Amino acid sequence: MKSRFIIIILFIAIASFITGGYLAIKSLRNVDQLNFMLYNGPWRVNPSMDLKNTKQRALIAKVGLFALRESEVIYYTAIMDSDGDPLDSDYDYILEGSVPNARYWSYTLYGKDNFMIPNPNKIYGYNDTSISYTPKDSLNPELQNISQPTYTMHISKERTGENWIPSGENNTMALTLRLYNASPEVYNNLTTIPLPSIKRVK
Amino acid sequence: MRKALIIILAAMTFGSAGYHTTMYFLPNYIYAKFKTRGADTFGNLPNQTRILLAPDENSRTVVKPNPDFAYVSTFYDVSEGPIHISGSLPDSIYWSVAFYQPNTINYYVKNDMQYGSPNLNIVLGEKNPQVENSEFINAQSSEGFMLIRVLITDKSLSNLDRIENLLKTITIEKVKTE
Repeated sequence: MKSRFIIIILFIAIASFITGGYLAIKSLRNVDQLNFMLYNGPWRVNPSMDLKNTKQRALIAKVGLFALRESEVIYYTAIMDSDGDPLDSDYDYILEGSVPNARYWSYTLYGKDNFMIPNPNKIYGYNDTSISYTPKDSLNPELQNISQPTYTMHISKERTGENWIPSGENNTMALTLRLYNASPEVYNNLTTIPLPSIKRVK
Repeated sequence: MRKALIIILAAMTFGSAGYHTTMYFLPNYIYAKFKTRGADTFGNLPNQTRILLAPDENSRTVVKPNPDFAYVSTFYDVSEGPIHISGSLPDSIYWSVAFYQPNTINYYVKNDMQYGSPNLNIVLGEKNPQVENSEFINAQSSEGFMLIRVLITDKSLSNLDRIENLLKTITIEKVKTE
């Protein structure tokens, strides 16, 4: 009788251990429920890579292996548009933004597997030297008062104007904005610095 | 009643242990998997550099690569003594050198502005062998990963060739200790 109880306990211990492990991995799938993330419109940012926090370390290893510390790079990621719908290659998107205050910045579009989306043009994103800026007089009125240069980016299957990033086929997507050596103003205002809205247009 | 309590306690204790153990060791597991995958594609001999210029859709070893960068990487091993990393880096808008432990912690990063020179001259080890004119970095683990990122603004073939040739000057040698 006693040995039967021990077997039951052993079984429960193993099952619970495996379930705990499964729940740990599952909890990393829903990044939006992680309490250390901050939000700026559709963009989320991890304000401090506290790698002693095991959950943060696990998440970074899973979705951004070999990421740099926040003192070197700030990573903003958007997986939703400005209306809260997942970025999906079945739709076209338009982003209008101004130049962020950083030494170097870039946008890169990734597929659901976190790798670049295959396309014959080999266009995966834009940075401060490759992007085309918008002339002031053709700007959206909301951006006309901004003193920094501004740009418009398009995410779609078919080429759509300047600064086009191909979205490929059957993809849920993630857009990453990297700010290298950002100014203190950025660090102090991670949730309020002007970042582009992501509007679904088709 | 007592048995039921023991069963509930066991479930909670081992469930929590499973959760925290997985969370703690997941980075090591991902790193080990990456190292194995890396070995399949480019070999994982320690202290040998590998260059990747402007990754594209076919670069699938590490998630979320930056297509604007050239990368120099190595699996370092200082268990048998410190190593000397030297070479020249391009006159890029940005470059940085970073070291990671197998649990993926980035314990060192320094960029071109902080170096102030395009010449790399680093000694990495667990003990400082006092090599003159070199920066000593205390390795937080005897094995790990080094990643040098170099921003490429001009992706023309001639410029990529130029950058590759410069990056090939980066070498790793064991420091001779008495």
